[in-house]
Amino acid sequence: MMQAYRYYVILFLYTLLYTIQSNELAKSNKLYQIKGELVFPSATVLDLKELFQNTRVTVGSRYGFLRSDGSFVVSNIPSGSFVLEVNCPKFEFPLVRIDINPKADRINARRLDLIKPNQISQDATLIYPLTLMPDRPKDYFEQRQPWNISSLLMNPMVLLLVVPAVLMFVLPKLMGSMDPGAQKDMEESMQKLQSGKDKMPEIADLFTNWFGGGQSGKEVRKALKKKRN
Amino acid sequence: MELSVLRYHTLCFIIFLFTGVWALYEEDIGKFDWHIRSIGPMKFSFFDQTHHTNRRVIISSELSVLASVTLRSGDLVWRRSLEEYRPIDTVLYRESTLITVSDNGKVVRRWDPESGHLQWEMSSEGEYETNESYINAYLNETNKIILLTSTKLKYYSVGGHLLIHKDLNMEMDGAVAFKMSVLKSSIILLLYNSNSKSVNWVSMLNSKVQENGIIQAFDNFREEHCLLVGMRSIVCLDKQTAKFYVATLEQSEFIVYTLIDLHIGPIDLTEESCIQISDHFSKVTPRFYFILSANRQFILELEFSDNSIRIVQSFSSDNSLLLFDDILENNIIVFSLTSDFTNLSVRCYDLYNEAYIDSLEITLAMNRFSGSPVRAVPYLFYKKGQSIGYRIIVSFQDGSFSLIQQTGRISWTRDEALSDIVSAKFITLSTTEENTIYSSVLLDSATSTNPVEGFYRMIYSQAIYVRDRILHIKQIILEPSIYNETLHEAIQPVQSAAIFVTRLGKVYCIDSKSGLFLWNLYLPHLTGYLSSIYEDTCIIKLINTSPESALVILGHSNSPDYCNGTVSIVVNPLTGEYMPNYPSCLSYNISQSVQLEEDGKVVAIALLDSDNTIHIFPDTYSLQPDTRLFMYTADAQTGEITGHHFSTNGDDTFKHVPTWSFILPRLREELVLFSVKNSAESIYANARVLSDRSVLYKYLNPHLTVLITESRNERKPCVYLYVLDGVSGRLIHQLYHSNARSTVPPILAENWIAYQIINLKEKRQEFIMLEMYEGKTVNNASTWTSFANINVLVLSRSFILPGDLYTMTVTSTNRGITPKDIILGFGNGQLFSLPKSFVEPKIPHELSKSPSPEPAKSPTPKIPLSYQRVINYNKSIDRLREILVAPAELESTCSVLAYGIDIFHTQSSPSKSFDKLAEDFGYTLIIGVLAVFLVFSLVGSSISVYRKTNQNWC
Repeated sequence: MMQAYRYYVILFLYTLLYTIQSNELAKSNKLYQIKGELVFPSATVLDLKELFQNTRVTVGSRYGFLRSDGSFVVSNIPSGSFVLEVNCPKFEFPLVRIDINPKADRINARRLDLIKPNQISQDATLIYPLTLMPDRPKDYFEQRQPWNISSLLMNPMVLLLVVPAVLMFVLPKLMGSMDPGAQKDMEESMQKLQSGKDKMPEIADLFTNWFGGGQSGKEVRKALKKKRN
Repeated sequence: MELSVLRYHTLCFIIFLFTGVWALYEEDIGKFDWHIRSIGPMKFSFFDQTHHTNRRVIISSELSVLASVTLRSGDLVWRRSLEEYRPIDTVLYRESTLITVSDNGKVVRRWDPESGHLQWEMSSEGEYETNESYINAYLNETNKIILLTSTKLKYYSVGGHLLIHKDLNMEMDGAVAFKMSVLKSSIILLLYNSNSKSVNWVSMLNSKVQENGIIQAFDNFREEHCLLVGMRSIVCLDKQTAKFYVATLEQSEFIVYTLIDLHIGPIDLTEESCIQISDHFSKVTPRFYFILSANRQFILELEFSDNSIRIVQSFSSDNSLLLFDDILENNIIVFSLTSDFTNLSVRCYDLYNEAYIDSLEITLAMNRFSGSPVRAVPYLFYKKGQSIGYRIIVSFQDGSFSLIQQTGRISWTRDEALSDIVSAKFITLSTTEENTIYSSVLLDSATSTNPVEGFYRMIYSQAIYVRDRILHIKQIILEPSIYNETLHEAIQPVQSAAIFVTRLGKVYCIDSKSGLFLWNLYLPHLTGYLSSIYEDTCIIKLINTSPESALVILGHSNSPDYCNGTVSIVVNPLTGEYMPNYPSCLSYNISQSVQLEEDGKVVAIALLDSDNTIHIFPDTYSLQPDTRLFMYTADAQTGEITGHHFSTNGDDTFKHVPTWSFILPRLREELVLFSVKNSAESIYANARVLSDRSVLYKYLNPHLTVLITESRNERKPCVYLYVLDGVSGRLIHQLYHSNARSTVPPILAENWIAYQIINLKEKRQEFIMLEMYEGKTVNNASTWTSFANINVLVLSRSFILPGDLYTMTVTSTNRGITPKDIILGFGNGQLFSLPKSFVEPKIPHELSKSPSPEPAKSPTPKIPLSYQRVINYNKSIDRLREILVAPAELESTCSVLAYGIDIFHTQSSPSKSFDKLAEDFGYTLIIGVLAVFLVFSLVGSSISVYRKTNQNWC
């Protein structure tokens, strides 16, 4: 008996709840306006004119256009949850989640995190009417490097020229400072390596002999002169 | 040593030369791309007189776009695209006030005519959604906006305040408003009460009701065929009985006139026939006129004294348009525009004197066929010597509109048919005979498998090209008079062009490199060929018939009188001229088509009609003796996908065998999207190498089809995906997503399928990648058969899309070596090029036995959005509909064309331009460096010789 009574109470409550809910549903086709403002901190007046012409706020299939002060209105939005997106060619704005609560006649807004869209955190809440600032400018273009001496020096073509040239001067010096035993070993191994290429004129060899001790340039020239004579 | 250094240097050079760029440099804007911005066919137009030096025209289009163009050249000054599915109901303009009423009369916006900025927006906040059948608005002399809808009357001030809001439905007991007439502060409303079959009228002064009354309606009363003439009389036309019903507001019943009695008849009253009155016209004229348009047009005058109707003038041409202008004091001028498709004549009729003004008559030669005039807006003014001058904006059936000056000159024409494209396709044009050889050789070199042969052909084709160039230059030197722009165009070796078929039946051919219009055609009877799943589409095919190739366009006919079936247009792809010997109408409706190829060239199209009979187009084509065709058709209504097999029995007839059918649970699911794999796709690698150096073979079925269906139960939205083999009908894979919907056609390429779902629970869009593999062993490496029983391994991974996806496609290159990019088209009009490797599924640990896991390129589930990968940078495409891709000549690049209201074309290089020199390539630097090397080696060798001699002497 008691159980039957309880059952009726639950049934009654359920019907009551259902009627309230259906009333709510009937009410909820009321239309709302979402208001806000876009702030462009680093834009000149000329830029602003162009920006306002090309920027639009979308909520589903509804558009909001910018007034000359940057404010916008998106009209005729039914109650529910929506994503507000700012279509601006120059700046990226955050996505905003709008929740219109028909019961409280209230509009709540918060930054939308696409990875965890249903998580509500305190610092993501935005004040309504919205004031939105761009997150970052949209840089579509690759930056061309300005001319400077380091970029010239680091240019692969210049490196190609300079590094081997430097090596040509530095290596013989290193060879010269090595102890004679090691030098001899190295020469031997080099000769072994290049035994088949004897006929090839060796410029490094030439430089080694030229700068790495032995006869100096002047002496060579003198010797040559003598020979010609 | 020095030689090896040189060799090393040369190698390094070659490597460094081909360092292309990913994104564009800012100064390269417009170098590789072109962008066409459109408005749409004209609906409302006003002459903006606020600027005396820089005059403009304000245009509002059928596509709910509001724009301002210059009067001098027709160039766009500003453009605002309003909500796509909420059309502009009416536009009001006076001096610096520009008002649009849109979305069923719910949104009123005021714009600044100069800059296009919004000044204010008013909407029915707090009201409920209603549907209004009648919407009209006036801007009266006291600068108030009076907005009347079927159930509401609202007054707004031009400053953006709602002054008065009246709910007519409540006050008038179910009567619906259908007409309004405004004179200064007083207005008269007509309402129709369908219960009591009576017309209620209300006269108001400053929104206060002054008088009202009821007139008993007649039997065939239709609101849309009634006029309120001169704030006093109602004139209605009954088309069925060909009668006029006239009543003044004081009367309680209508007076009847038959058209015969008025000496108007007999005329044909069709659906389009109507009576109309000019807005200007109801102002302060002492006499009242209206127009009856049927197969002939009449100007009729209503005598107020006895409500009698008199014919003032009749105009008897089929393609004519009448319009009024009373801007001049004491006179009303009627413009009559008549077009016989080659000439457009404008005549002016003086209503008060009842005579034509001969001095204002002009006849213009139309240099192209545009159909008859649809709408026109005149602007009359006094010239210096007090003579009358005018200019008219005329819009034509083909969607174009022109500004016509009184001097008999067309100032400019805006071709707006391109704003609504039904179907588009890339084709390759070979301009001259030599170039045909060149392109075929080039094509052969690209497809040949032997590298030596390929290289030889490449060199051969280049030689042909160089020879042509020399011949051409010789021709210029010898006969410079012939040289002109077209010859210059003709020397381009292979020209890639885009063909567009628009909703209004206009066909365009645009050079895809430069964006130049090559030719256009207006075919008023052609509309989209109705496919059951997609929106309207047309078949566009280039067939290689000898001696020249032909472009075939097949579409649905919009007039059964012209063609009861399929309209076929066969033109020369270079000139747009009709080719003889082809039918212009096919008597059947097409349900599927397959191209027939010979030596890799399309030579004919096999068309399947609704009775499952095969027709070959062109019918002169003789079939190969053993032709076998596999086709399948999908019916969205019944949810049935059927496979067909056709084979010839030695003669020209096909034997039809239905091979398979796949039936969707029709009550549960609805077929929404359908995608077919491009079987001509070139695939380079047939396997993927894993990190443990084992090989995973791709499942490269060329006959794959993907069906996406949605649940019919609105409370439980679900997306189902089916992967089918088109030849055998085998179901390869299926899956479903609950709480989701899908709006973008999936893409199929190589061994993967990419599709989009809208996750309703999380309120975001997701991108899902499915990869199909055969496994670690290859099933049959030499030939593909759909009937082989392969267990397909499917790997999948889903990602979060950073925006609202409208459409997507995949890049394709000549030989398929370049890694593929997926081009995502977002709702904000941006095209984002996403490397496919970023969205690859992870290889499970069972497959790769490597100790370290497979590296994933994107560790986050959200697709990373770098703006340098937006290929159309800040040139967004409004209402993006589709993206087309075609391989370009170079392997690294492909042409990308995206269209919506705007059209954008660019060259995309998915993995940088590796086979192309960089744009900023320094020719002087490389020549300088080579010269230094040369000097260096020469000096070095001479020194070494010197040194050797020296050594020998010593």
